[in-house]
Amino acid sequence: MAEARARSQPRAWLEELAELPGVGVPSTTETRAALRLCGSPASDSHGLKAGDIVVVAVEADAEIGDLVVWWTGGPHSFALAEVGEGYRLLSVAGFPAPRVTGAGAAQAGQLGASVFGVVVARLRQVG
Amino acid sequence: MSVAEEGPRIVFHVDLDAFFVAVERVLDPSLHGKPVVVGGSPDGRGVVAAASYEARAYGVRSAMPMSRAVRLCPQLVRVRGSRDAYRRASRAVFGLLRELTPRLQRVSIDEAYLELTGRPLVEGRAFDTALQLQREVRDRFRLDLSIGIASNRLVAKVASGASKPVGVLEVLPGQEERFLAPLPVRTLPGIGPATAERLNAMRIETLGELVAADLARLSLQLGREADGLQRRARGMDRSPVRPPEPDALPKSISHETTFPVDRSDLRFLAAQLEKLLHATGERLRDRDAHARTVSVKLRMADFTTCTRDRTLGHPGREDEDFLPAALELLEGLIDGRQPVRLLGVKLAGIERGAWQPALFEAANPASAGPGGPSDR
Repeated sequence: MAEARARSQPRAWLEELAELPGVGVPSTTETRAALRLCGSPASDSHGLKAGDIVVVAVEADAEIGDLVVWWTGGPHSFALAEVGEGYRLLSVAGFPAPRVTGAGAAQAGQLGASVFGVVVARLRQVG
Repeated sequence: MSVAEEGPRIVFHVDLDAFFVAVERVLDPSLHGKPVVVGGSPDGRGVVAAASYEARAYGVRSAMPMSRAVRLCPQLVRVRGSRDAYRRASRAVFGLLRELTPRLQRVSIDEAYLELTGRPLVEGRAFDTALQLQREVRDRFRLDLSIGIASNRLVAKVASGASKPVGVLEVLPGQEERFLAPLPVRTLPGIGPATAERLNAMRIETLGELVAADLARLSLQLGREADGLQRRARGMDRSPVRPPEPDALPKSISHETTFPVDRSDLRFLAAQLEKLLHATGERLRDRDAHARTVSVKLRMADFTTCTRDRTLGHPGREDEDFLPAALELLEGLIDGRQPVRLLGVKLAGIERGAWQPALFEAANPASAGPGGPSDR
Protein backbone atom coordinates (compact mmCIF):
# COMPACT_ATOMS: atom_id res chain seq x y z
CA MET A 1 0.00 0.00 0.00
CA ALA A 2 2.74 2.37 1.06
CA GLU A 3 4.63 1.36 -2.01
CA ALA A 4 1.64 2.14 -4.19
CA ARG A 5 1.32 5.56 -2.55
CA ALA A 6 4.99 6.22 -3.03
CA ARG A 7 4.65 5.29 -6.65
CA SER A 8 1.69 7.67 -7.16
CA GLN A 9 3.55 10.55 -5.47
CA PRO A 10 6.03 12.18 -7.85
CA ARG A 11 9.50 12.76 -6.53
CA ALA A 12 9.36 16.47 -7.26
CA TRP A 13 6.70 18.80 -8.51
CA LEU A 14 6.05 22.49 -9.14
CA GLU A 15 3.31 24.46 -7.44
CA GLU A 16 2.08 27.73 -8.84
CA LEU A 17 2.29 30.60 -6.37
CA ALA A 18 -0.42 33.21 -6.11
CA GLU A 19 2.20 35.75 -5.15
CA LEU A 20 5.91 35.99 -5.44
CA PRO A 21 7.47 36.52 -2.01
CA GLY A 22 9.59 39.61 -1.48
CA VAL A 23 9.03 42.97 -3.08
CA GLY A 24 9.59 44.51 -6.46
CA VAL A 25 8.52 41.66 -8.69
CA PRO A 26 4.81 41.51 -9.44
CA SER A 27 2.84 38.42 -8.53
CA THR A 28 1.71 36.05 -11.23
CA THR A 29 0.41 37.97 -14.23
CA GLU A 30 -0.80 37.05 -17.68
CA THR A 31 2.74 36.84 -18.92
CA ARG A 32 4.57 35.65 -15.87
CA ALA A 33 4.23 32.94 -13.26
CA ALA A 34 6.09 31.95 -10.15
CA LEU A 35 6.38 28.25 -9.34
CA ARG A 36 7.79 26.68 -6.20
CA LEU A 37 9.82 23.50 -6.50
CA CYS A 38 8.47 20.91 -4.04
CA GLY A 39 9.31 17.34 -3.03
CA SER A 40 12.80 15.94 -3.39
CA PRO A 41 14.35 17.18 -6.60
CA ALA A 42 17.39 15.27 -7.74
CA SER A 43 20.74 16.96 -7.58
CA ASP A 44 22.20 17.93 -10.96
CA SER A 45 24.24 20.66 -12.59
CA HIS A 46 21.45 23.23 -12.11
CA GLY A 47 21.65 22.90 -8.32
CA LEU A 48 17.91 23.38 -7.78
CA LYS A 49 16.53 22.56 -4.34
CA ALA A 50 13.09 22.13 -2.77
CA GLY A 51 11.70 25.57 -1.92
CA ASP A 52 13.38 27.30 -4.86
CA ILE A 53 11.09 29.54 -6.84
CA VAL A 54 11.38 29.71 -10.58
CA VAL A 55 10.13 32.84 -12.32
CA VAL A 56 8.64 31.89 -15.66
CA ALA A 57 7.92 34.10 -18.66
CA VAL A 58 4.85 32.50 -20.11
CA GLU A 59 5.10 33.76 -23.69
CA ALA A 60 7.48 30.98 -24.54
CA ASP A 61 10.02 31.36 -27.29
CA ALA A 62 12.57 28.91 -26.04
CA GLU A 63 16.09 28.65 -27.36
CA ILE A 64 18.62 25.90 -26.98
CA GLY A 65 20.09 26.05 -23.49
CA ASP A 66 16.99 27.60 -21.88
CA LEU A 67 15.36 26.09 -18.84
CA VAL A 68 11.63 25.67 -19.48
CA VAL A 69 8.54 24.60 -17.62
CA TRP A 70 6.59 21.94 -19.36
CA TRP A 71 2.91 21.34 -18.74
CA THR A 72 1.57 17.89 -19.45
CA GLY A 73 -2.04 18.69 -18.66
CA GLY A 74 -2.82 16.75 -15.49
CA PRO A 75 -2.45 17.58 -11.78
CA HIS A 76 1.15 17.88 -10.55
CA SER A 77 2.10 17.97 -14.19
CA PHE A 78 4.33 21.02 -14.41
CA ALA A 79 7.83 19.78 -15.05
CA LEU A 80 11.21 21.38 -15.57
CA ALA A 81 13.27 20.62 -18.62
CA GLU A 82 16.25 21.99 -20.47
CA VAL A 83 16.11 22.65 -24.18
CA GLY A 84 18.93 20.59 -25.63
CA GLU A 85 20.49 20.30 -29.07
CA GLY A 86 17.88 19.70 -31.75
CA TYR A 87 15.29 21.21 -29.39
CA ARG A 88 14.99 18.01 -27.44
CA LEU A 89 13.77 18.44 -23.90
CA LEU A 90 16.19 17.04 -21.34
CA SER A 91 15.52 15.98 -17.77
CA VAL A 92 16.23 18.56 -15.03
CA ALA A 93 16.25 18.07 -11.22
CA GLY A 94 14.99 14.51 -11.63
CA PHE A 95 11.82 15.44 -13.51
CA PRO A 96 11.26 12.91 -16.24
CA ALA A 97 11.97 14.39 -19.64
CA PRO A 98 8.56 15.26 -21.07
CA ARG A 99 7.47 13.03 -23.89
CA VAL A 100 7.06 15.06 -27.02
CA THR A 101 4.02 13.89 -28.89
CA GLY A 102 2.36 15.13 -32.03
CA ALA A 103 3.70 16.97 -34.99
CA GLY A 104 5.25 20.35 -34.50
CA ALA A 105 5.88 19.87 -30.79
CA ALA A 106 9.59 20.31 -31.04
CA GLN A 107 10.45 22.00 -34.26
CA ALA A 108 13.54 24.09 -34.70
CA GLY A 109 13.24 27.48 -33.05
CA GLN A 110 9.79 26.86 -31.62
CA LEU A 111 8.47 24.44 -29.08
CA GLY A 112 5.01 22.97 -28.88
CA ALA A 113 2.13 24.49 -26.99
CA SER A 114 2.80 22.33 -23.96
CA VAL A 115 5.76 24.46 -22.97
CA PHE A 116 4.33 26.65 -20.26
CA GLY A 117 7.15 29.16 -20.29
CA VAL A 118 10.85 29.95 -20.10
CA VAL A 119 12.54 30.17 -16.72
CA VAL A 120 14.00 33.68 -16.56
CA ALA A 121 15.13 33.76 -12.94
CA ARG A 122 15.23 31.71 -9.81
CA LEU A 123 14.91 32.75 -6.21
CA ARG A 124 15.84 31.08 -2.97
CA GLN A 125 15.03 32.67 0.35
CA VAL A 126 16.74 31.60 3.51
CA GLY A 127 15.20 33.97 6.06
CA MET B 1 35.73 26.07 -5.70
CA SER B 2 36.08 26.04 -9.44
CA VAL B 3 36.45 28.87 -11.91
CA ALA B 4 33.40 29.67 -14.03
CA GLU B 5 33.82 28.88 -17.70
CA GLU B 6 34.10 31.72 -20.20
CA GLY B 7 30.69 33.18 -20.86
CA PRO B 8 28.47 36.04 -19.76
CA ARG B 9 29.65 38.34 -16.98
CA ILE B 10 28.68 37.43 -13.43
CA VAL B 11 27.78 40.46 -11.36
CA PHE B 12 26.39 40.42 -7.81
CA HIS B 13 24.50 43.30 -6.28
CA VAL B 14 24.68 42.82 -2.53
CA ASP B 15 22.37 44.69 -0.19
CA LEU B 16 22.35 44.41 3.61
CA ASP B 17 18.73 43.95 4.72
CA ALA B 18 17.31 46.70 6.98
CA PHE B 19 20.93 47.39 7.82
CA PHE B 20 20.73 50.03 10.57
CA VAL B 21 18.03 48.09 12.41
CA ALA B 22 19.96 44.83 11.98
CA VAL B 23 23.07 46.38 13.58
CA GLU B 24 20.95 47.74 16.45
CA ARG B 25 19.62 44.22 16.98
CA VAL B 26 23.14 42.82 17.18
CA LEU B 27 23.90 45.44 19.85
CA ASP B 28 20.59 44.81 21.66
CA PRO B 29 19.05 41.40 20.90
CA SER B 30 15.86 42.31 22.83
CA LEU B 31 14.88 44.33 19.72
CA HIS B 32 14.34 41.13 17.72
CA GLY B 33 10.78 40.60 16.55
CA LYS B 34 9.73 44.13 17.49
CA PRO B 35 8.77 47.00 15.18
CA VAL B 36 11.96 49.08 15.38
CA VAL B 37 12.98 52.33 13.72
CA VAL B 38 16.22 54.23 13.73
CA GLY B 39 15.79 57.99 13.65
CA GLY B 40 15.18 61.30 15.37
CA SER B 41 12.66 62.23 18.03
CA PRO B 42 8.94 62.39 17.15
CA ASP B 43 8.70 65.64 19.15
CA GLY B 44 10.88 67.58 16.78
CA ARG B 45 11.57 67.17 13.07
CA GLY B 46 12.91 63.63 13.40
CA VAL B 47 12.54 61.36 10.41
CA VAL B 48 12.78 57.58 10.06
CA ALA B 49 16.25 56.66 8.81
CA ALA B 50 15.51 52.91 8.73
CA ALA B 51 12.59 50.66 9.65
CA SER B 52 12.47 46.96 10.52
CA TYR B 53 10.24 44.69 8.42
CA GLU B 54 7.87 44.48 11.42
CA ALA B 55 7.54 48.28 11.38
CA ARG B 56 7.11 48.31 7.60
CA ALA B 57 4.09 46.04 8.05
CA TYR B 58 2.40 49.04 9.71
CA GLY B 59 3.22 51.26 6.76
CA VAL B 60 6.28 52.85 8.37
CA ARG B 61 8.86 53.81 5.74
CA SER B 62 12.28 55.48 5.56
CA ALA B 63 12.24 59.29 5.35
CA MET B 64 8.77 59.43 6.94
CA PRO B 65 8.39 62.01 9.75
CA MET B 66 8.83 60.16 13.04
CA SER B 67 5.63 61.68 14.43
CA ARG B 68 3.67 60.01 11.60
CA ALA B 69 5.49 56.70 12.12
CA VAL B 70 4.50 56.70 15.79
CA ARG B 71 0.88 57.40 14.85
CA LEU B 72 0.90 54.46 12.43
CA CYS B 73 2.50 52.11 14.95
CA PRO B 74 2.10 53.28 18.57
CA GLN B 75 4.20 50.38 19.94
CA LEU B 76 7.13 51.41 17.73
CA VAL B 77 10.55 51.11 19.39
CA ARG B 78 12.76 54.04 18.42
CA VAL B 79 16.53 53.99 18.66
CA ARG B 80 18.67 57.04 17.93
CA GLY B 81 21.24 55.09 15.96
CA SER B 82 25.00 54.98 15.94
CA ARG B 83 26.66 55.92 12.66
CA ASP B 84 29.98 54.74 13.97
CA ALA B 85 28.67 51.22 14.67
CA TYR B 86 27.12 51.10 11.19
CA ARG B 87 30.39 52.16 9.57
CA ARG B 88 32.33 49.50 11.47
CA ALA B 89 29.81 46.77 10.61
CA SER B 90 29.81 47.84 6.96
CA ARG B 91 33.61 47.75 6.78
CA ALA B 92 33.66 44.25 8.33
CA VAL B 93 31.07 42.82 5.91
CA PHE B 94 32.62 44.37 2.81
CA GLY B 95 36.03 43.17 3.96
CA LEU B 96 34.66 39.62 3.85
CA LEU B 97 33.09 40.18 0.42
CA ARG B 98 36.42 41.47 -0.86
CA GLU B 99 37.90 38.02 -0.15
CA LEU B 100 35.65 36.73 -2.92
CA THR B 101 36.82 39.28 -5.46
CA PRO B 102 38.97 42.41 -5.40
CA ARG B 103 36.61 43.92 -7.96
CA LEU B 104 34.13 45.29 -5.44
CA GLN B 105 32.47 48.67 -5.76
CA ARG B 106 30.76 49.99 -2.66
CA VAL B 107 27.93 52.31 -3.58
CA SER B 108 26.68 53.10 -0.09
CA ILE B 109 27.11 51.98 3.49
CA ASP B 110 24.97 48.86 2.84
CA GLU B 111 25.27 48.16 -0.90
CA ALA B 112 27.99 46.96 -3.25
CA TYR B 113 28.56 45.46 -6.68
CA LEU B 114 30.92 42.52 -7.08
CA GLU B 115 32.37 41.35 -10.39
CA LEU B 116 32.68 37.56 -10.15
CA THR B 117 33.52 36.95 -13.81
CA GLY B 118 36.46 34.57 -13.97
CA ARG B 119 36.57 34.11 -10.19
CA PRO B 120 36.38 30.78 -8.35
CA LEU B 121 32.76 29.85 -7.61
CA VAL B 122 31.23 27.32 -5.23
CA GLU B 123 30.43 24.24 -7.36
CA GLY B 124 31.17 26.48 -10.36
CA ARG B 125 27.84 28.21 -9.79
CA ALA B 126 27.13 31.85 -8.99
CA PHE B 127 23.88 30.92 -7.22
CA ASP B 128 25.62 28.59 -4.73
CA THR B 129 28.38 31.13 -4.20
CA ALA B 130 25.79 33.75 -3.24
CA LEU B 131 24.06 31.35 -0.85
CA GLN B 132 27.35 30.52 0.84
CA LEU B 133 28.16 34.21 1.14
CA GLN B 134 24.79 34.85 2.72
CA ARG B 135 25.37 32.06 5.26
CA GLU B 136 28.86 33.28 6.09
CA VAL B 137 27.76 36.86 6.71
CA ARG B 138 24.93 35.63 8.91
CA ASP B 139 27.21 33.27 10.89
CA ARG B 140 30.00 35.79 11.39
CA PHE B 141 28.14 39.07 11.81
CA ARG B 142 24.49 38.07 12.45
CA LEU B 143 23.50 40.28 9.50
CA ASP B 144 21.35 39.35 6.52
CA LEU B 145 22.09 39.99 2.86
CA SER B 146 19.97 39.99 -0.24
CA ILE B 147 21.83 39.25 -3.44
CA GLY B 148 20.88 39.81 -7.06
CA ILE B 149 22.89 37.98 -9.72
CA ALA B 150 22.91 38.91 -13.38
CA SER B 151 25.14 39.48 -16.37
CA ASN B 152 25.36 43.21 -15.60
CA ARG B 153 25.04 45.75 -12.80
CA LEU B 154 21.67 47.12 -13.82
CA VAL B 155 19.80 43.80 -13.77
CA ALA B 156 21.66 42.59 -10.67
CA LYS B 157 20.43 45.67 -8.82
CA VAL B 158 16.81 45.09 -9.83
CA ALA B 159 17.16 41.39 -8.89
CA SER B 160 18.45 42.11 -5.39
CA GLY B 161 15.49 44.41 -4.77
CA ALA B 162 13.16 41.63 -5.86
CA SER B 163 14.88 39.04 -3.68
CA LYS B 164 14.38 40.86 -0.36
CA PRO B 165 14.35 39.93 2.39
CA VAL B 166 17.21 37.44 2.72
CA GLY B 167 16.98 36.07 -0.79
CA VAL B 168 19.18 35.27 -3.72
CA LEU B 169 17.63 35.95 -7.10
CA GLU B 170 19.55 35.00 -10.20
CA VAL B 171 18.43 36.32 -13.57
CA LEU B 172 19.59 33.72 -16.05
CA PRO B 173 21.90 34.97 -18.82
CA GLY B 174 19.95 35.88 -21.93
CA GLN B 175 16.72 36.32 -19.96
CA GLU B 176 17.31 39.90 -18.82
CA GLU B 177 14.71 41.48 -21.11
CA ARG B 178 12.09 38.88 -20.23
CA PHE B 179 12.75 39.30 -16.53
CA LEU B 180 12.34 43.06 -16.68
CA ALA B 181 9.40 43.18 -19.10
CA PRO B 182 6.46 43.00 -16.64
CA LEU B 183 8.03 45.29 -14.05
CA PRO B 184 6.75 48.85 -13.56
CA VAL B 185 8.97 51.47 -15.25
CA ARG B 186 9.88 52.93 -11.85
CA THR B 187 11.74 49.71 -11.01
CA LEU B 188 14.53 50.60 -13.43
CA PRO B 189 17.34 52.53 -11.73
CA GLY B 190 17.49 55.95 -13.35
CA ILE B 191 13.76 56.30 -13.95
CA GLY B 192 12.60 58.81 -11.35
CA PRO B 193 9.09 60.01 -10.55
CA ALA B 194 9.14 62.73 -13.25
CA THR B 195 10.22 60.38 -16.08
CA ALA B 196 7.79 57.71 -14.85
CA GLU B 197 4.98 60.26 -14.94
CA ARG B 198 5.83 61.26 -18.51
CA LEU B 199 5.96 57.59 -19.55
CA ASN B 200 2.68 56.82 -17.80
CA ALA B 201 1.10 59.76 -19.64
CA MET B 202 2.13 57.96 -22.85
CA ARG B 203 0.43 54.82 -21.48
CA ILE B 204 3.75 53.15 -20.87
CA GLU B 205 3.49 51.42 -17.51
CA THR B 206 5.91 48.49 -17.76
CA LEU B 207 9.45 48.07 -19.00
CA GLY B 208 8.16 45.73 -21.70
CA GLU B 209 5.93 48.54 -22.97
CA LEU B 210 8.90 50.91 -22.88
CA VAL B 211 10.91 48.51 -25.06
CA ALA B 212 8.01 48.19 -27.51
CA ALA B 213 7.37 51.94 -27.72
CA ASP B 214 8.17 53.82 -30.91
CA LEU B 215 11.57 55.47 -30.44
CA ALA B 216 10.64 58.62 -32.39
CA ARG B 217 7.56 59.16 -30.21
CA LEU B 218 9.58 58.44 -27.11
CA SER B 219 12.29 60.90 -28.17
CA LEU B 220 9.70 63.67 -28.54
CA GLN B 221 8.88 63.29 -24.86
CA LEU B 222 12.24 62.34 -23.39
CA GLY B 223 14.75 63.83 -25.79
CA ARG B 224 18.12 62.22 -26.34
CA GLU B 225 17.87 59.93 -23.34
CA ALA B 226 15.07 57.91 -24.99
CA ASP B 227 17.39 55.52 -26.83
CA GLY B 228 19.53 54.80 -23.78
CA LEU B 229 16.45 54.29 -21.65
CA GLN B 230 15.05 51.78 -24.10
CA ARG B 231 18.30 49.85 -24.09
CA ARG B 232 18.36 49.78 -20.30
CA ALA B 233 14.75 48.59 -20.26
CA ARG B 234 15.99 45.65 -22.36
CA GLY B 235 18.43 44.88 -19.57
CA MET B 236 21.46 46.11 -21.53
CA ASP B 237 24.21 47.68 -19.44
CA ARG B 238 27.94 47.59 -20.02
CA SER B 239 29.01 49.65 -17.07
CA PRO B 240 31.98 48.13 -15.29
CA VAL B 241 32.25 47.35 -11.60
CA ARG B 242 34.81 49.91 -10.54
CA PRO B 243 36.77 49.26 -7.39
CA PRO B 244 37.91 52.52 -5.84
CA GLU B 245 41.31 53.80 -6.84
CA PRO B 246 43.72 53.36 -3.96
CA ASP B 247 43.10 56.27 -1.60
CA ALA B 248 40.42 57.70 -3.90
CA LEU B 249 38.97 61.00 -2.78
CA PRO B 250 35.23 61.68 -2.68
CA LYS B 251 33.86 64.24 -5.14
CA SER B 252 32.37 66.22 -2.29
CA ILE B 253 31.86 66.19 1.47
CA SER B 254 28.75 67.66 3.03
CA HIS B 255 26.83 68.07 6.25
CA GLU B 256 23.35 69.38 6.83
CA THR B 257 20.94 69.80 9.70
CA THR B 258 17.19 70.26 10.06
CA PHE B 259 16.16 72.59 12.90
CA PRO B 260 13.54 71.52 15.46
CA VAL B 261 11.69 74.76 14.65
CA ASP B 262 12.14 77.03 11.64
CA ARG B 263 14.70 79.80 12.22
CA SER B 264 15.25 83.17 10.58
CA ASP B 265 17.78 84.71 12.96
CA LEU B 266 20.91 85.30 10.88
CA ARG B 267 23.26 85.14 13.88
CA PHE B 268 21.89 81.76 14.86
CA LEU B 269 22.15 80.51 11.27
CA ALA B 270 25.70 81.82 10.93
CA ALA B 271 26.72 79.98 14.13
CA GLN B 272 25.15 76.77 12.82
CA LEU B 273 26.91 77.23 9.49
CA GLU B 274 30.23 77.55 11.29
CA LYS B 275 29.59 74.26 13.16
CA LEU B 276 28.61 72.44 9.98
CA LEU B 277 31.63 73.80 8.17
CA HIS B 278 33.89 72.62 10.97
CA ALA B 279 32.46 69.06 10.80
CA THR B 280 32.85 69.07 7.01
CA GLY B 281 36.36 70.52 7.21
CA GLU B 282 37.40 67.83 9.70
CA ARG B 283 36.50 65.14 7.20
CA LEU B 284 38.45 66.99 4.52
CA ARG B 285 41.50 67.29 6.77
CA ASP B 286 41.20 63.59 7.77
CA ARG B 287 41.87 62.83 4.13
CA ASP B 288 44.71 65.27 3.96
CA ALA B 289 42.88 67.01 1.13
CA HIS B 290 41.91 70.48 -0.07
CA ALA B 291 38.68 71.76 -1.61
CA ARG B 292 38.08 74.42 -4.22
CA THR B 293 34.34 75.02 -3.90
CA VAL B 294 32.07 75.73 -0.95
CA SER B 295 28.26 75.50 -1.24
CA VAL B 296 25.51 76.52 1.12
CA LYS B 297 22.05 74.98 0.93
CA LEU B 298 18.86 76.26 2.54
CA ARG B 299 15.46 74.65 2.70
CA MET B 300 12.77 77.14 3.62
CA ALA B 301 9.63 76.59 5.67
CA ASP B 302 7.64 75.98 2.47
CA PHE B 303 10.20 73.36 1.37
CA THR B 304 11.66 75.45 -1.44
CA THR B 305 15.35 74.64 -1.59
CA CYS B 306 18.14 76.86 -2.85
CA THR B 307 21.84 76.24 -3.19
CA ARG B 308 24.67 78.67 -3.97
CA ASP B 309 28.31 77.89 -4.39
CA ARG B 310 31.56 79.77 -4.71
CA THR B 311 34.85 78.57 -6.13
CA LEU B 312 37.78 79.94 -4.18
CA GLY B 313 40.81 81.53 -5.74
CA HIS B 314 42.91 78.67 -4.44
CA PRO B 315 42.08 75.35 -2.75
CA GLY B 316 41.35 75.67 0.96
CA ARG B 317 41.82 73.38 3.90
CA GLU B 318 41.09 75.22 7.15
CA ASP B 319 37.65 76.40 8.33
CA GLU B 320 38.73 80.02 7.92
CA ASP B 321 39.58 79.40 4.24
CA PHE B 322 35.88 78.72 3.56
CA LEU B 323 34.00 80.62 6.23
CA PRO B 324 33.95 84.14 4.70
CA ALA B 325 32.62 82.84 1.39
CA ALA B 326 30.12 80.55 3.14
CA LEU B 327 28.78 83.43 5.29
CA GLU B 328 28.43 85.65 2.22
CA LEU B 329 26.52 82.88 0.44
CA LEU B 330 24.24 82.46 3.47
CA GLU B 331 23.50 86.18 3.63
CA GLY B 332 22.73 86.20 -0.08
CA LEU B 333 20.29 83.31 0.28
CA ILE B 334 18.30 84.68 3.23
CA ASP B 335 15.47 86.75 1.84
CA GLY B 336 13.92 87.57 5.23
CA ARG B 337 10.48 86.46 4.09
CA GLN B 338 10.76 82.78 4.86
CA PRO B 339 12.22 81.13 7.95
CA VAL B 340 14.76 78.36 7.36
CA ARG B 341 14.04 74.69 7.97
CA LEU B 342 17.31 73.10 6.90
CA LEU B 343 20.86 74.36 6.50
CA GLY B 344 23.63 72.49 4.74
CA VAL B 345 27.20 73.04 3.63
CA LYS B 346 29.26 71.18 1.03
CA LEU B 347 32.91 71.22 0.02
CA ALA B 348 33.63 70.09 -3.53
CA GLY B 349 36.47 70.10 -6.05
CA ILE B 350 38.47 67.99 -3.64
CA GLU B 351 42.09 67.33 -4.37
CA ARG B 352 45.09 65.93 -2.59
CA GLY B 353 48.26 67.74 -1.64
CA ALA B 354 49.20 71.12 -0.32
CA TRP B 355 48.40 74.21 -2.34
CA GLN B 356 51.38 76.31 -3.12
CA PRO B 357 50.92 79.90 -4.23
CA ALA B 358 52.45 80.89 -7.51
CA LEU B 359 56.07 81.74 -7.08
CA PHE B 360 55.90 85.37 -8.19
CA GLU B 361 52.33 86.12 -7.11
CA ALA B 362 53.26 88.33 -4.14
CA ALA B 363 56.09 90.07 -5.93
CA ASN B 364 54.10 90.98 -9.00
CA PRO B 365 50.44 91.70 -8.25
CA ALA B 366 49.81 92.44 -11.92
CA SER B 367 50.46 88.79 -12.82
CA ALA B 368 47.79 86.09 -12.63
CA GLY B 369 45.93 86.49 -9.35
CA PRO B 370 44.34 83.82 -7.21
CA GLY B 371 42.66 81.27 -9.39
CA GLY B 372 44.62 82.28 -12.44
CA PRO B 373 47.26 80.16 -14.16
CA SER B 374 50.25 79.42 -11.97
CA ASP B 375 53.86 79.67 -13.01
CA ARG B 376 55.74 76.47 -13.64
